[in-house]
Amino acid sequence: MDFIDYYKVLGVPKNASAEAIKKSYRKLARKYHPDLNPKNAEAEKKFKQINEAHEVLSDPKKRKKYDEYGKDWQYADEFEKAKRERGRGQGAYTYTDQSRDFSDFFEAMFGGRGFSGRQRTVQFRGADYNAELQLQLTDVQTAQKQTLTINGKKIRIAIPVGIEDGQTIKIKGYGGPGTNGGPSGDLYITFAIVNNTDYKRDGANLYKSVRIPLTIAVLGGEVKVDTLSGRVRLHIKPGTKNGAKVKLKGKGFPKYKRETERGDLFLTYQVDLPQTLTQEQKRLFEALRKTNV
Amino acid sequence: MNSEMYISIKTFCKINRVDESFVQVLNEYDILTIEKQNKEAVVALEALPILEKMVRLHKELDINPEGLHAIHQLLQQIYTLEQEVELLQRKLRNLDFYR
Repeated sequence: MDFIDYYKVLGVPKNASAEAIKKSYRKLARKYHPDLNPKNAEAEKKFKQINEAHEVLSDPKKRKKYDEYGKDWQYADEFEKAKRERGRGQGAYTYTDQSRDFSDFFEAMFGGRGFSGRQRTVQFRGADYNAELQLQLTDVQTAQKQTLTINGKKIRIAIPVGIEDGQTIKIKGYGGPGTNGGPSGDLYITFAIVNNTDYKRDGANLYKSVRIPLTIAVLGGEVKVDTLSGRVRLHIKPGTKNGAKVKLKGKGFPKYKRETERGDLFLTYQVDLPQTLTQEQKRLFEALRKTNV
Repeated sequence: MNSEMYISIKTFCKINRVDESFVQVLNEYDILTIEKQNKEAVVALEALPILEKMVRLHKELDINPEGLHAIHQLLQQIYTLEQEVELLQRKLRNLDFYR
């Protein structure tokens, strides 16, 4: 266990006034407060250190003791023991394990939190949990509820309609339990949406290619296309080019958290060229060629 | 209205030793919503973590309601941006996969 320079932690000189210590503590606490630095373990650690330093230096008795033993804190119990033997001391603190870390330095010096005077318990928020949930694209066309088991606890969650692949939802208070009565952390669920359709999805918009016969592309006509909200009839204009695009408004995917609103469906026409021709078809094409089409 | 889903503001303030006007101000700043149940002012349990966070920031860091409002908005923006970054990273990974 190393000596901790509480003055250094708070960035104040050894002769700093109580007011200067308070000011520096407030400034650093604002910077590293866990509520202002969510999911930042480094800030949480720093905040713990600042609180510990403040707890010692803001209490005149503790500060005096800290100043008195300073770097020789490890001999503090021996001094105290000697004092007790002389019938003067009351043995206010002990330490037993020299290999322990920062927080134990405090306990070694002061016998645990709240050794004397004002008792201040620092509360910490519990850890955040992360989980991944895999769903099929067609599953998230409607809002649904699922029961998950997180760390042995059953949680029923509502999955919003239109959730995207990689999107994370936060469920407040379902993370790890807090310390010293602090609030529980949050549960973050990241969704992995497997596309089980032949659509390409971009948010609420869907993209798909539709094959149309050459004759319909040239002369115009009607084709039936399946969409996620049912089959639709498409009127193809005469002279439709290969690769032409058409937008079907409101036939895309439901918008996030809006079950009744849908994005658009973008279709790209792929004109089907016949690979094999009958004699009759070949004759007709030959006749067509003579017209210089 | 299911009473188990709400907490009385009076009870909350008593337990947390804060003035009821503090919660009223948070309501005015749209940080949370105060509802009425049997003529009593209540907040939804799901808003409790936000309320507790605001009390902590107010008490531990001496942040006034105006500051809490700004912090709340910025934290929400951070959360939205984090979500967006994660989503874009995921899309980027998918693009790399198909390249």
